[in-house]
Amino acid sequence: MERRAYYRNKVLPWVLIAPQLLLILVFFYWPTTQALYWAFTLEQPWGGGNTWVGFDNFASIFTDTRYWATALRSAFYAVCATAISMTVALTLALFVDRALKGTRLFQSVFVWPYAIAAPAAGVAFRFMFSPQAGFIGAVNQVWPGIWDPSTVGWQALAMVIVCHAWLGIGYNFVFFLAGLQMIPRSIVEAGAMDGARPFRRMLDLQLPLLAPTTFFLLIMNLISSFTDSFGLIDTLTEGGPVGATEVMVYKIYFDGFKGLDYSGAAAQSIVLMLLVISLTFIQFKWVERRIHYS
Amino acid sequence: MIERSPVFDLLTYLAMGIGLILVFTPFWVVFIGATLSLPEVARVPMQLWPSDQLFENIATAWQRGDLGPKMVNSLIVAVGVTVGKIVIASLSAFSIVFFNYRARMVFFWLIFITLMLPLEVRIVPTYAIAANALSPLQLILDVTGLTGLVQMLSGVEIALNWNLLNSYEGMILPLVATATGTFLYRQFFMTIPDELVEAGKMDGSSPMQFFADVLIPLSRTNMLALATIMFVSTWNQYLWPLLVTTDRANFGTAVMQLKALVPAQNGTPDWNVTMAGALIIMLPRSSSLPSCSAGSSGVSSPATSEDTPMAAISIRGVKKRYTPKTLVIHGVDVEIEAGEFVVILGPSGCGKSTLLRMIAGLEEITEGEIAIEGRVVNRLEPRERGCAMVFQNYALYPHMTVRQNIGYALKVAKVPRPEREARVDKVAQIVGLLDYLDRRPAELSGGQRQRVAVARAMVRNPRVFLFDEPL
Amino acid sequence: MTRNWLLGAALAASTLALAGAPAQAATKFEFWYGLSGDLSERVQDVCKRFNAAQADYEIVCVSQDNYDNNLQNTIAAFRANKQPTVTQIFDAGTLDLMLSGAYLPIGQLMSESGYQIDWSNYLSGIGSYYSTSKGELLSMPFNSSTAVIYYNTDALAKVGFAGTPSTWEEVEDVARKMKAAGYDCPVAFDPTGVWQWFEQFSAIHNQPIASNGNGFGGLDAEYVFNKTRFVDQLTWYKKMFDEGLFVHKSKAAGETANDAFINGTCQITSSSIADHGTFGKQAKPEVKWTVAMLPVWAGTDRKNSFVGGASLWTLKGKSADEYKGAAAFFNFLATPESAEYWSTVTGYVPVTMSGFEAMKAKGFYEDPTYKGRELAIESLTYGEATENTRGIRLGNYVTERKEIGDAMARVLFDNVPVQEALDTAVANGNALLRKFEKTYQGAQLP
Repeated sequence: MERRAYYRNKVLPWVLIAPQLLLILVFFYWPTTQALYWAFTLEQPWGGGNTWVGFDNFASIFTDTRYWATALRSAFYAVCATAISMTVALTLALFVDRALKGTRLFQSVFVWPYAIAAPAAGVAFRFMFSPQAGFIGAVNQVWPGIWDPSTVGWQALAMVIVCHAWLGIGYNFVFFLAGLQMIPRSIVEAGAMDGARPFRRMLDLQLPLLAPTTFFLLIMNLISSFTDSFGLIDTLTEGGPVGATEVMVYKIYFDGFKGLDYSGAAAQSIVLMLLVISLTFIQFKWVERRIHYS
Repeated sequence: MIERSPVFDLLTYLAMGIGLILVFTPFWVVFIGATLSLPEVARVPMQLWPSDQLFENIATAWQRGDLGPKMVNSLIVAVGVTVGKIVIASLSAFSIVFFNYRARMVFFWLIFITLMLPLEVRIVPTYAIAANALSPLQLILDVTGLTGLVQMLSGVEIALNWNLLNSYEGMILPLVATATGTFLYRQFFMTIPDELVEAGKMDGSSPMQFFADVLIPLSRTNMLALATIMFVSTWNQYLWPLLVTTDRANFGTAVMQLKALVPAQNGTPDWNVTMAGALIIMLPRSSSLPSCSAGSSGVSSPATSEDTPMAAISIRGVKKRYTPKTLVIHGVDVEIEAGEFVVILGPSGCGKSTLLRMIAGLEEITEGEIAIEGRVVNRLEPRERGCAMVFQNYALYPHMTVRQNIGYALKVAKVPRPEREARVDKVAQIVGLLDYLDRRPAELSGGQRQRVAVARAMVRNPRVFLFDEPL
Repeated sequence: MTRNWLLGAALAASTLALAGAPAQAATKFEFWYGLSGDLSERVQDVCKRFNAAQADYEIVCVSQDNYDNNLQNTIAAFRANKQPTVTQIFDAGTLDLMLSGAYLPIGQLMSESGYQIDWSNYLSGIGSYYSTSKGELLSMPFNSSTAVIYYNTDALAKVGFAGTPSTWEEVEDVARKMKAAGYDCPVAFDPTGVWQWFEQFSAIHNQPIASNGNGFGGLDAEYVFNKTRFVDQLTWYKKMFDEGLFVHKSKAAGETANDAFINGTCQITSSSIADHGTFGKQAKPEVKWTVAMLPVWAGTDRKNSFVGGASLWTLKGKSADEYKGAAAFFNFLATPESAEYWSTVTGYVPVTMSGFEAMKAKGFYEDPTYKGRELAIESLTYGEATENTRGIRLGNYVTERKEIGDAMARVLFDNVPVQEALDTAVANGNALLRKFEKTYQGAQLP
């Protein structure tokens, strides 16, 4: 998507972007580069020195089958959490956009999940999904022992994914609704004049016109499910049972800061970063060109 | 809202209701937890109705967590990050989207990549930076030999030091340095049509004037969304404030206190107090959430109307109010014969568009009735009235080609493809668009777009043509 | 390097304002710790008592929420030269710190500040965990505990067992009878409880966890627990679990093993002696319970159990005045009154023999509220110490703990054969050890 109209100015764009660049250079690139250097060394956590080992850390990651399992799990997690969260948020936004009576109430509640602090959310979820009590636990009274995320890996993973998706609903909802409300009313009205029923209009008009928002959210959700899943997993499952909910960022955190293996963690960070960057890049290359911004 | 199908409305409410339950339940659990006494909260399963300890728990949490001053700190940090991010992000996105210089894509990716490595993972080196934010500069000076040079010349040794620990800057600046805002603004700025920029240039406005007068007002909704999100996510930050503030009494934030309220290993599991704390800490954010202000277009001024020689329209005593007090149309009685060409003239805001929209079925009729071919259409959906309308701004579907735009109504009506093609070709020929069928609206001139809009109206062989100031 | 604030001053007036206000009276120094909630408030009490007891120094105590966070934040701060004077490091983080050279040995600190502390007075198990191979104590023992087993006395009475079981055979028998008597959960078991179910088992049964005396002899140690009696022990856990005599209780399962015990859901749990105080405050009124030393298999020559908890380290790079303050603080902690206060309000063991004797003489352990806590001391000092019971000095041990927990979970939940699960844990652990050895190439254990 190329623009036609640009401003021409030699200095101004640099001035405008300077504050942001300065901040990220100081607070992101400088420290990150240091961390990345560790990936090629064996760094002593207390800073006593290090030995250069080249690509050894990467070699040991890539030959570790458990690391691959973690990477696959992360991908699965990202896709599922993103899909669920965005679908639910979009559905809600489409219905709220119809602006029926009383919608405002629903609308304000739908934003709430974003506001809940992680510890509180973790506690609430732990209760809700607990096998002994809670809502899901009720199935155990019908079929005893059928639900137990503390021992059954896939159930734990499902639980974490659902919670992640839930926490994202508010965020996605805000953007979808804002996106929908920015679609000129006349376009939807033209659709109505053309005889399209509401559902049809959603599919044929609103969804395609929402593409920029959807694209934005898709990227943000994917990135966040790769990078932000740490807090939730830490409160809910701590990666267990038997690593069933261990995703890449959790493993990095655990190895690096609990296990004090800074170098292994740094190597994993590089892999994670490259993965997310390439995923995002592909999306920009292949998905964004199909989007109509105006 | 255009259609009032009761079934669809019910479905809407049903979906929103399910959504409400989904979203609300965890909050309910927190609230209930906050009302329980200690033995009650330890009970399994936990009860689902409130008990009477709410105020006691809140008081305990408030006092134990010293939440008053901590909330003020959280507020300062959250507002600082939010404002900083909005200012910095809008400027940098403006630079990336509206200026054509070589480095812009590099810059965009440089900024964007910061999203991909979470703070948790790089916290140790980031701390070193916070301890002396000027250390990169120092290194540059040292490496380039400037330090030595200055020392030689003046006898002063340069040692830069800017400690951000235990300060609001330390909590704010590193959190400002991420890309969410820039990305969001970029996405929004991309949707600004080129014409607007060109119009701005014609008006002689400088880039900064364009930024201030056009972009900022237009991005109000986005700004609200971004502000909300930044505010909330900053408020919820935990790991970073914990690390950079050892002076908890003066710089602690509310969420840090919440963690302190969570019973740890060997501690008293008084979750009820924790929940009460969570409740307090959640409140300012819930109330700060904007309700996404609805800002839909409702532009209308003079109007014209025409109809094909097929239908007569009677408008009898039609009135329109938007609120009980604003009477827009004071009772119109018009008989339009079949084949008649009627032009409605009047000053802006006198209700011409509204009248047309009521005929089309896009507005509800407050009083009176409209009949097409003798059949009262007040309760009919737009698609059942047989009208076609050309909108003031044409309302072409930007993501469809000209062919798809014209043929969309036929596709919706499930007209078989060959017939559809034939009819589209026929109208396209009439309006002279045959060569442009595969283009998108953005690739057409203004006049061509107008003709697409007309063709779109004609293709359905409507009984009534409505033109809302299309010329 | 002589520091000059020329440019910095222009850029950071706010910092200078802070730096320009020197502490007039007392020398301030920081102490970071990894406890939160109720225990954090107790630490703050100790700090207040210290500040009230003298006027020369002011200790600023900062909670970093938990041990992991505190370790990580201390490291971050140390690397940025902003470290606290005193920090609390838990057992598994000890080795990295030992090799880092980032600390001041406690003995040196105290003698340089003119305090005489009788190190032999410290419980031997506690002392050895934080000492060099030559026996020099490096850090100040602070909150020390060990694993014990808690029984519901009503349940024991119901199945006709007098006293408390002292062997695993008896535990099995009791558990089976409890099940038959209608108790759904005889023993609460959490596979992440590697500390009590694996480490302490190995210590009191004199089984090695790794070669080289669990790593005390050098960095080239290797894990060996896939060839010790722990194989049989895990097999037994599995059998008990399958029979429903061990029931899985954890945070993830909705109720921790301890909560299940004090709620009366489960009748037996193994946990830290530090929970003694919590149980006293928390247990439902109808739950009557008691505590005992961890059981052994009949006929075993019982040895001492490992010390748990954390110790206080003095970090390098602070001023002489701050070190004097730290020494004064440690001296304060070492007084019998402080030791007694801390042990009373928390449930951690008194770390010195004299503190223990003093409390015993006062009849502390006769008080029904505290009765049973002396068993922890007995457990910590039981029998002649061997190289398998000194402690664990293995690199990346936090990660290996998780591996062992996973191995137990795989055996219990996924029916992986015991030997296979332990072999995997050992292989992964040895890879960790070799990496650690390489990281500290050429370093010698102090």
